[in-house]
Amino acid sequence: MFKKSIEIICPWAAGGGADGNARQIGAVVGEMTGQTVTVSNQTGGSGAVGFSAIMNADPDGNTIGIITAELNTLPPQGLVTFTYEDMYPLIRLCTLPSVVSVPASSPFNTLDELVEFAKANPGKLKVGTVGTGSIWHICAAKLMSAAGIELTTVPYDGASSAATAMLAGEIDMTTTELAVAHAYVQSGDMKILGIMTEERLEDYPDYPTCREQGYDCVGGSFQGMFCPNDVSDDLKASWEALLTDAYNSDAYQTYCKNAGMIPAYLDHAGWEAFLAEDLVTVDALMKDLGLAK
Amino acid sequence: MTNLSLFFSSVGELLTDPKCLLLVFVAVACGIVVGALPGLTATMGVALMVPFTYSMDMRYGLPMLMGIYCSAVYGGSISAILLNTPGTPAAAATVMDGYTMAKRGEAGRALSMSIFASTVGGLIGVAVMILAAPAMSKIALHFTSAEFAVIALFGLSVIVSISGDSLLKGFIAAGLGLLLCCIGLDPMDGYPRFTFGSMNLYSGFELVPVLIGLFAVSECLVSIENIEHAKTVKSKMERLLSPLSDIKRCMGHIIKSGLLGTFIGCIPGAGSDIACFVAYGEAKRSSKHSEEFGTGCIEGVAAPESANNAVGGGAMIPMLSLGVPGDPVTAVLIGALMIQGLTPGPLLYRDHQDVVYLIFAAMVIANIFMFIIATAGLPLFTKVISIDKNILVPVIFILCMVGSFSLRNNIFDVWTALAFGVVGYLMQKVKLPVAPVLLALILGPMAEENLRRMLVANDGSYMPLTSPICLVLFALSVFMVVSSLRKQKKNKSK
Repeated sequence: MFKKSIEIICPWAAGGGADGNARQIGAVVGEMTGQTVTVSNQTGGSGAVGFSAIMNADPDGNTIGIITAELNTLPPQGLVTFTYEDMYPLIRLCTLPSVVSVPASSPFNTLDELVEFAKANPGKLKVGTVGTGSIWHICAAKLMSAAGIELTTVPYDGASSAATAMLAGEIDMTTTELAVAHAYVQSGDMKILGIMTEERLEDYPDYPTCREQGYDCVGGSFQGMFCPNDVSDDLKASWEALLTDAYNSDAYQTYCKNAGMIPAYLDHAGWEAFLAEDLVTVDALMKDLGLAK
Repeated sequence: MTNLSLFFSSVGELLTDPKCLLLVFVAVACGIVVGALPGLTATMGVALMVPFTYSMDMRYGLPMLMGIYCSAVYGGSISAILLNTPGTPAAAATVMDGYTMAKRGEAGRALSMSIFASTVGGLIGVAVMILAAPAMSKIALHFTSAEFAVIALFGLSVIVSISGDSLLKGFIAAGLGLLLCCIGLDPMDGYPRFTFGSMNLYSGFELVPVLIGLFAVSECLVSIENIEHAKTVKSKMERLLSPLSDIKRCMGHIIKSGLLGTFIGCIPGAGSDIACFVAYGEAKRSSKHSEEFGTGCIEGVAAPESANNAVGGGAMIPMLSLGVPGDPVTAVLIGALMIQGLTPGPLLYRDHQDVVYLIFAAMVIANIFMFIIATAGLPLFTKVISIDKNILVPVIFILCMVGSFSLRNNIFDVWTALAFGVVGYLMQKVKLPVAPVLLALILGPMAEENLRRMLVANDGSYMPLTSPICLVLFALSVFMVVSSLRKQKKNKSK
């Protein structure tokens, strides 16, 4: 068991969020097994190149990979021919919840006020997201379908670019990640009207959920570990146990907190069920957005 | 407000900590190597260093990252001058005059100027950052999609200065570059364009393999043609420092390019690759002997090298104060800071002044170390071109392939570099300049995305293009083109 060096495939560039996550969990795994852990960044195709590298990796159990929410947004758009079912989900690590935020100067103070305005003026409000067909675009779509409103989505190349564009007055609201908006709330430049989680977060008790305000939308990006399908059942089980221990380590938990990610463990069965449900939702929303193939 | 006493005490703290000095020294040396190797960019150097800083105290980790950032941008010019191979995209403009100088036996002179200009440019960027960051951070908030689109247009106006003899050929090359930008997922609709079902093309052609192919691989192919009779260029390193006459000749361009680079750096999304071309274009436009540019002119090395290093200081401004990366390297740095529990953005200046000033101090020291290490290394660097071509060409070729692969660990990028090597070779044969292809490839996506985003965000109205900033930028573009053209006409009739 784990007699060779371990490789973690990351579909995103070195220095990004998923890369940092892979390296941190890799460092803990390295300490636990005494093996060298390398992260290989195989990027391109909005994650597709790395996902297929994980799927096709040598199934000797020494190569695993980290995946992001794009694993479920690419297939409905017809951009890849595989889905999460062609790989083996090990554990879910964390989520990056989406928040509905507006500038501090915005006339809206609650989600209700925003929805009321949007209902009276369909398409008038511009919502900034990150990338077309991305998970943040899906989050905007979730809000639209939960509230029965129509917004014009404007894609940016990052959550922080969308945030500055909103402060510069180009857009009215964003549905991007919590960490970015939270910093601007503290500086007094933004208001968070709703967070797309099931319940209020322990570390952010002041942010009301969309759900408690009557808009049933839960969404955001997520990251977790996968291995190829052909890895032996024994190895799959050992990996699940090993990664679970690594997840529970202090080093990893501190990392999540600092990096603005919400630790959200799910074991293999839970992780698989979550992905299945998410794929159905995303697929339906892509059809609404006219992005599905 | 700038707190100068805090700045000086931060510098003092760094200088009196031997461990920290040693780490910065090592980081700067590594940075120069990373920069000089084709394919290993400053972004990658910093990204590879970040995991080392996870377990490190911030007082050591941050200065190391700053060290590698500053020096990697400089390092690219070494291979650009000696081998026609820009080590990083930021050195792409340095090739035009630097390599011609090296071929003439003046590699030493070009390299001395490159390190001098890089250091001065870097320090200008840092100085502006220290003194004006709080004021300049607001600039980014005045830039909406319309302004970004016009900035890209302004950058494209430099084509008139980098087209060589024939403007028409320059436009053909730039058109080719813009066509290449159409490949990949549509930035607004996500529709795959010209991808032929290959997911490797979803994000279009990667800049670095194209750069390696057009400049380095094509140069290898040209060298092979007459490898039997290749004369090794003798380049003696008579003096390490630039002669005063060169410094006097270039100082004006260095300072202007430094300020230009800082400003471009502080605009999110515009980095050192754009700055080097704009500075080159402006230096050529304003020079008294603009006809010498492209034929091995020392100002053609000084201007882009000063600008690309100045970007570092400029790019830190929006990163620290808004959490918006000014260039790809600062995007990686944001991740590094977050691991340390610091969120770059509006709160950093208020709550963590010590960190901000630590970064300032580290950048100043990194620039000075860079000058010392590189100057000491110059005799060694220049030896590279006296190597027998039979050995040198295959080595460069292999480095190019490794560099292309290492970027994304994707074999597709190696094929890209090879294919563009052949394209670059054919372009040399018909005397089409390659620099405009690259400039178009850098700016095309920026222009398209922002123009279309502006239209979506404004219900199809073009009115945002009439904002004061846009009008100024339009005027600057027209001025740049007209004045460059008039000068070229005058030179021709001389």
